Amino acid sequence: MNPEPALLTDAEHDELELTVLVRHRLEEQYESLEQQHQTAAMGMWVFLATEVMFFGTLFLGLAVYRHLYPAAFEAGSESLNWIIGGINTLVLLVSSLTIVLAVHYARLGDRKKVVLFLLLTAALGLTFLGFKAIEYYLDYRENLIPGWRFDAREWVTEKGLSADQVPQVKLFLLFYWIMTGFHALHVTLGIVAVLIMAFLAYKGYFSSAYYSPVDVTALYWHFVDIVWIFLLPMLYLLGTHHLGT
Amino acid sequence: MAQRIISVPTYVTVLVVLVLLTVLTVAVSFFHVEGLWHIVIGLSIATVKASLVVLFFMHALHSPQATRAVIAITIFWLVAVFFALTFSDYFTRGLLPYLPGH
Repeated sequence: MNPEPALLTDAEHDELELTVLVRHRLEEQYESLEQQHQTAAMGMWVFLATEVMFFGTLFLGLAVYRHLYPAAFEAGSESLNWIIGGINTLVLLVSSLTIVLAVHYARLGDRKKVVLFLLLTAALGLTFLGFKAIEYYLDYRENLIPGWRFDAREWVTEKGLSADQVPQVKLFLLFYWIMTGFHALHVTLGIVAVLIMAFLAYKGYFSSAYYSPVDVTALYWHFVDIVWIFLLPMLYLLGTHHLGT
Repeated sequence: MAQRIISVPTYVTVLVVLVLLTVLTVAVSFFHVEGLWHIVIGLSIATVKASLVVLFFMHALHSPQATRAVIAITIFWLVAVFFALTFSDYFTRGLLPYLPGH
């Protein structure tokens, strides 16, 4: 292709390219790309701390009201679809593996695998949202939406709750909708971030020396997974399930 | 970052453990135990799972001290300040029913 003999060997060419790339990515206030990376990662952890405060409030409210209204919250929990909740847990856990592998191969500078695993992660995120949509539709069919589709008599006649406990079930269901809704919003934003990373990786924006955006995006994704890890027992598994029901 | 790299088989092993713990936590929900035990068992398993994700997937094991400090402070705030202090109020209400002024 090149008629002149190459001035640089391939290895030297790669090294030069990396040096130029490193210079280009390094912001002037940092000593090294490593320091820049660690700063970015810690910044994400601080952001996640604020997210812990956000979801922590909801979990705390849920726990306190479960303590005050145990029977209604257990009945409400048993009405949720634990099968879809469980499947979605597995989907998110696998997506955590795929994105950590994306980081792993970014560190090794394997561009193709980074793109592959980021796209797999986004696909699993979409799978999660798909199952979530099915679950929401089933909740709609089963009158589990307080304020819109909710049948108070059903809970008294069929599930044996007292009239006093019906508003308590509504409260549990509100926790369910708000917490899973905010979680789904986080998953949606995560998918957007992962797709942007996949695009940048495809364009050759990252190298084994510079991949902190992929790493930081992965941290956020894992956090969203962790929230769901706690949502599973706190929403779906509060009561005793029975086989065949 | 110049840090020790966790191998792919380790990541896969962690995932397998996470999946098994998920199956376990769902299986426990079929046992007839008192409601509170469902929460205790469910949250214990969830805490183990979350720890595995933080330590291995989020690389807390190989993170710099400053990052670990942020993680430790966050957990301390959530568990000790937020949950423990709130529960020390709500869980103890009614223990002294005849307290003057209540």
